Amino acid sequence: MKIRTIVPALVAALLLPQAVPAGAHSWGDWYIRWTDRNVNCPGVNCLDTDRDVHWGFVTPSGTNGFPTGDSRRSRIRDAAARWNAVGTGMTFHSDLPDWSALGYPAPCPQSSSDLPDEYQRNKVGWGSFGDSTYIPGLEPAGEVRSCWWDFLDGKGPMMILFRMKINKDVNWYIGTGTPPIGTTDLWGLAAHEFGHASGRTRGGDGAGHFKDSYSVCPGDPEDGQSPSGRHTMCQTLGPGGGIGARSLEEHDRDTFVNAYS
Amino acid sequence: MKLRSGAGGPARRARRIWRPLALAAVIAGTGMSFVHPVFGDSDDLEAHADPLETLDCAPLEPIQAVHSDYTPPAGIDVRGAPSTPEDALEAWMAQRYPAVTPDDFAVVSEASDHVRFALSDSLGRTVAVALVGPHADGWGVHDLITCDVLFRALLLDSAGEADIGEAGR
Repeated sequence: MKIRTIVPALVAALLLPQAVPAGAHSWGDWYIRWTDRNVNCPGVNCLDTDRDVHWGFVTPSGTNGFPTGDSRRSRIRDAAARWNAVGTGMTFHSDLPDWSALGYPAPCPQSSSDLPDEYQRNKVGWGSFGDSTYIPGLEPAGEVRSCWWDFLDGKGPMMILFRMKINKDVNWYIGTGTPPIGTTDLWGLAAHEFGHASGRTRGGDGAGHFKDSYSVCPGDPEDGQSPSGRHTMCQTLGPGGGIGARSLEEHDRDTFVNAYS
Repeated sequence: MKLRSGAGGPARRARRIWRPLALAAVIAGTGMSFVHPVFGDSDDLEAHADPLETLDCAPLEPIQAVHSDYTPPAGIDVRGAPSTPEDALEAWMAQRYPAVTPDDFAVVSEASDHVRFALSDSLGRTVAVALVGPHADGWGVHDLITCDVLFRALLLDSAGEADIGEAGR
C-alpha cells in the first residue's frame, strides 16, 4: 500500500469516532479515584485536592505494628514508588510518623466532621489473619481496606482512606534479588496492594484484577519461573514467588494513567 | 482529444478518497492501539456487575471495600485452601466478622470463575456483597464491599461493638 494512502487513512482514523470493542475499559471500570474535593471540615487540608496520598507505618509496638531494623519497610516504599514513577496526578507519600495502631477493621469516617486529617488516614500494618500458622490459600498474604464517599455531585464516588495489612505469617522474601523457593516476594505483593490503594477496586474479576485467564497474566503460579509481561494487577502474583509483580506492565500503567491523567 | 485515464480521472479520484476512508474504518473498528484491548471473555462485565449498583446504601453513606490477595508461593502445598466458595466465605468471615455466617448470604451470581454473595438486613436492603473466586487449589474471598453504616448496624445487632474490630483509627 502506498504511503499516500496510509497516511491519510491514519489521520482519518484518528479523527473518526473510535469503535470501542466489548471489554475495553475506561478508568471508571477499574477505579474509585482519590478525591479532588475541597470539603470544609476541622482538619487541616481535610481533603486533598492535589491527590497526594500521604501514608505511614504502624509503630512496631502497636497493634499490627510494622517492624523496623531490616529492609521490610524499604520494600514497601519501593512498591509505592513504582506507582509514583508512572507520573500521573496521584502520588503516594511515605512521609508520616508511625501510628499507634492500624485501626483494622474500623468504621469509615461518616462525615466530614468525622474525617481525620489527611495526614492521619492512610496506614500500612503488619499482622496475622488467624493463628501464626499461615495456610496459603486460606489466609490472604495481604489486604487493603478502602473507604469511599459518594458526593452526589455527579462525579461518582471518591476514595478517602486506605489501610493495608501485610500477613506477618507469610514466609517473605524481603530482598531485591530472586526469591528462594518457598518464599513470597514482599516487594511484589506490596506493589499489587498499592495498586488497590491507588483506587483500583473494581473491574476485571470484580475486584480490580486482571483475571489469571487473561492474556496479560501468563504463567502458572506454581511454576518457578516468572514469565515476562505478567501484570502486577493479576489475580495472583504469579510464578517465582511473585517477583514479576514488582514492575508495572503496560495495562497496569494504562488503567492508572486513564484514572488520573 | 484523448481523455486522460491517469491521476485526474473521476474513478481514480474516487479511489483516492474512499480507499483511505475504508482503511480508516478498519483501523477504527479494530481499535488498534487507541483503546484498551479486550482482556477476557465477553461476559466479564455482565458477570461482575458494579457492586455500587447492587448495594442499597443510604445517600452519602460511606462504602468500605476489602481486597484480600492470595499468593501461594512456588513449591508450596496449598491443600489447606477452602474447596468450595461457601467454605471460603465462612473461613474469611470467621476471621473478621464472626457474627455473620455464610447462611446469612444469598448467591446472586455464579459462574465457573466466581460466585457473588449478597447480605441483606432485616429490611431487605443489600448491605454487603462478597466476591469469591478460585485461586491455586481452592477458593477465596477476594472482595467484600459494604454499606459501612448499615453493615455495622447489622453486626451490632448480631454481636456487639467488641466484635467488630479495632475502634481506633
